[in-house]
Amino acid sequence: MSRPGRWELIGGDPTPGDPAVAAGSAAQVAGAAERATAALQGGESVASAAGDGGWQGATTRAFGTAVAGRLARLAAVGTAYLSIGELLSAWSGSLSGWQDQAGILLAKAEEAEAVRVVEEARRDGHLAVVRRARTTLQLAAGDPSAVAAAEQVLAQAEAALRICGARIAEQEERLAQLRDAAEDLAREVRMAGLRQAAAMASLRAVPGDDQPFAVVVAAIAVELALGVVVDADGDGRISAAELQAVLGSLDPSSDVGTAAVAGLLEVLAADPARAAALVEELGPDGVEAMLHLLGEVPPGDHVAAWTAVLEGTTALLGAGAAASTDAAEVIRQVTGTAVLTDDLVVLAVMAQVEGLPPDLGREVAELIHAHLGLDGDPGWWAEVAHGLFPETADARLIALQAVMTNLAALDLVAADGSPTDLGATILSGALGLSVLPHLADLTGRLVTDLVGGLMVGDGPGALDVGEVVAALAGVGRGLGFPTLGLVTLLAPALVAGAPAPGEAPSTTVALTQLLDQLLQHQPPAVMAAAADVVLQSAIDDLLQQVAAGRIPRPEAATPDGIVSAGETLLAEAIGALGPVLAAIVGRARQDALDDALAQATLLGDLSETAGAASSSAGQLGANGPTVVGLATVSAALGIAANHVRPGPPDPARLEAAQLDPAVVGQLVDIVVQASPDLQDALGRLEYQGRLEEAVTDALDDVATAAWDDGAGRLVGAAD
Amino acid sequence: MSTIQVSASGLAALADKAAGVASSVAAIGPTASPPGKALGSDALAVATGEVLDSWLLASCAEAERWGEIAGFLAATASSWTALDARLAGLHGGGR
Repeated sequence: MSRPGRWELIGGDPTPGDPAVAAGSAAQVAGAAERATAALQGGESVASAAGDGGWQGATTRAFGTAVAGRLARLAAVGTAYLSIGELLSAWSGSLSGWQDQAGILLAKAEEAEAVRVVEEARRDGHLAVVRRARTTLQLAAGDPSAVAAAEQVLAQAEAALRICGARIAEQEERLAQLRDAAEDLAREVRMAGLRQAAAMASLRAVPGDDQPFAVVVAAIAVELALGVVVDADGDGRISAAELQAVLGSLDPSSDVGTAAVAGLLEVLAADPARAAALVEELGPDGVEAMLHLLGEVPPGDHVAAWTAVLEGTTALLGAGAAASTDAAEVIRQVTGTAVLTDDLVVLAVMAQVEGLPPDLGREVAELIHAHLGLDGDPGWWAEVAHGLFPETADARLIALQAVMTNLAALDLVAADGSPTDLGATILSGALGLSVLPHLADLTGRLVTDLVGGLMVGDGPGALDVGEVVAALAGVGRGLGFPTLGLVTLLAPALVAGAPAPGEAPSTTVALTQLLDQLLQHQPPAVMAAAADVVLQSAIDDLLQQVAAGRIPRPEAATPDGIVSAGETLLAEAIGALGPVLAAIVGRARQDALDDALAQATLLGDLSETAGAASSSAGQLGANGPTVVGLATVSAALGIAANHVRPGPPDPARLEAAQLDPAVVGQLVDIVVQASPDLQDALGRLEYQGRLEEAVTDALDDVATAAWDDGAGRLVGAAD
Repeated sequence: MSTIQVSASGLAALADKAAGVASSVAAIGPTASPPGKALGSDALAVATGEVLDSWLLASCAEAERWGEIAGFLAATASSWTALDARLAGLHGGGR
C-alpha cells in the first residue's frame, strides 16, 4: 500500500501503510474491549445474583466457582483486546512518524532531482555552445579577432559545463544519500514491525481451562432435589464425602425423604450425563447409600414419582455397575435391601448386568430366575418379550432389557448372522413394546441385529422387510436421539444400492423411505448429521470396494475406465441421498423461520459436515484444493455459526467472520445473503430463502468433494 | 446442614440474565476485518490477523459456554417447577 509520490527516487516507499486505517482498527478493537468489559459486568451480576433471593445455599458457591472460571476468561478477552488496541494505536503513531520522516526524505529527493534536471538542461545548453564555439574556431582560422572571440566563448562555455557537471554530481550524491537514508528507515520500520509482530503474537488466545461444570451441575441437582446444602465445608467444591453425608443424613421414611429422592432421580433421569457425573462422585459407597434410601421409600400409588425413581435408579446403577465384580454380591446387595419390589429388584439387577462381563451377566440372569421362581428355559425370555409382565410399563421395560441383555446367550442369532426362529419371535415381540429413551443403547443393539437379519435375508428366521421397517420407524420416533444411530446402522445398506444376495429387492426402497420417515421429525442438526453419516458411508463403501478389488485393477482396465466405474458408484451413492438432502433443505427453511438458533445449529453442523468430508477426502489420499477448500469452508461456517449463536444472526458479524472470501469460494454467498442491506431490503423471508441456497451450496460442495476425491483416489489406484 | 430456599422463578430470571451475558459476549468481537497491509508491516499484519482471529474464536466459545450455563439454569428451573407441581399434588402442598 504505497502512497503517491516519486518514491522511486529513493528506492521505493520505505514506510508503506495507512496510519489512519491502523488507528481505526485500534479504535474498533478498543470498542471490543469495552464490550468485553460490559459482558464481564453482566457475568458478575449473574454470579452475584446466584447467591441472592430465589437461589440460596452453599452449593451456589460451587456454581460460582464454575462461573468464576468463565468470568476470568471474559476478563482475559477484555484485557487482550485492550492490549491489542493499544499496540495498534502505538503502531499507528509510530507509522505516522516514520511516514513524516519518509515524506521529508522524499521532498529532499524531489528537490535534488529538480535541481539535477535543471542542471542537466543547462549542461546540454552549454554543450551546444561548446560545439558551436569549436566549429566557429575552426572556421575563423586566420582571423585573430574572431579566433580570440571564439576562444573566449569556448572557455566560458567549458567553465559553465564543469560547474553544471559538478552540480549534477552533487545532486546525484545527495540522491544516493537520501536512498541510503530511506533504506535505513525501511529497515527500521521492518525491524519495528517484527518486534511488534512478536508482541502481538504473544497476545494470542490460548485454549481456556474449562471448569468441571458437570460435577457442579450434579451437585446442584442434589441440592435442589434434596433441599439441603451439599457443600458442607463451604469451600466451593463438592466432594464425594459431602454427597454421601447428605444421602446418609436423610430420613427416608419421611415425606421429605421420599420427595427428595424422587426429585433427585427425576432431575438425574432427565440428563444421563449429569447422573453419570453424580455417580462418579458418589462412588460405590454412595451408590449403596442411594440403594438403601430407595429401599426405604414406600411405593404408595405415586405412579409418576415412582416411575421417576425407577428410571433414575436405572441410570444410577447402570453407571455405577463398574464398582461391582461379584455377581452374587450384586444380587445380595440389591435383593437384601428391605422392601424392594420384584420389579425394582429385576430392574436394578439388570442395570448392573449391563456393566458386567458376559459370564457374570449370565450368572446374574440365572440368579434372577431363581429369585423370581422362574425356570431356566430360554423360552421364558421370549414370553417376557411378549408381555409376561404386561400390567405395568416398568415391567415391560424390564422385559425388553432382559431380552437385550440375554440376546447373545440365548442363541437368538445364528452363526451366519440371521435371527433364529426364537430370535425372530423375541425380536418381533420386543418391537411391540413401548420403548423409553433411557433404553436407547439397548434398542441400538436390537436394531443392529434387525438390520443384520435384513442383510442376510434368507435365514430361517427372516423377518418381513415391511414389518421391520415399520417397527424401526416407530422406534426412531419414540427415541428421538438415537435417530442418528439408526441412520448409521442403515447407511451401509442404503449405500449398497443393489440388493445383497438373497435380499428382497424392495429393501433399499424401504430403507430410503424409512430414512425419510425418521428425518421428517428431526431438527436440522440431526438431518445434517444424518446426511454426513450417509455420505461417510458412501465414501467408506467406495474405499472397501477398491480394497476388495471389486473395482478393476489397472491391468484389467484403463484409468479412465476405473474413474468411470468409481463415478458410477458414487453417483448411485449420492443419488440415494436425494430424499435426505431434500428433507434437510426443507426443514432448514421451516426451522430457520421459526428459530434463529436453529440457523446456528445448522451452520455448525454443516461446518462439521464439511470438516468431516474434508477429513474423509484426506483419508482417501486427496490433498488438493478441494480438501483445503472444504477445511476452510468448515472453519468459516464454524465461525459463522458461533457468531449466530445464541441470539439472532448478526449479518455484519457474519460478514466480518469470513476469513478470506477468495478462498471460501462459493460460500461467499453466506456473506452476501447476510449483508444488512440485503436483509433489510429483501425482508426476512427472502433472507431465509438465501440461507437455504447457501445451505444447498454447502451440501453440494460436500457431495462434489466426495465425488472429486473419490475419483482422485481411483486415479491414484490406477497409477 | 441447613435448608435452602429455591424459587423456580428466581432461577428462570437468572437463566435470562445468563442468556443476556451470552448475547453480550457473542457481540464482543471487532466487526471489521483486520487492517492487513494497511499496517505497513507484513509480519505485524499476519500476527494481528491471527491474534484477532484467535480472540474472536475465544469469545465465540465463551458465548457458547454462557449459553450452556443459561440453558442449564433454564432447564433446572423448568424441572423444579414441574417437580414442585407434582409434589404439591402428592402431598397437598409444596415445599
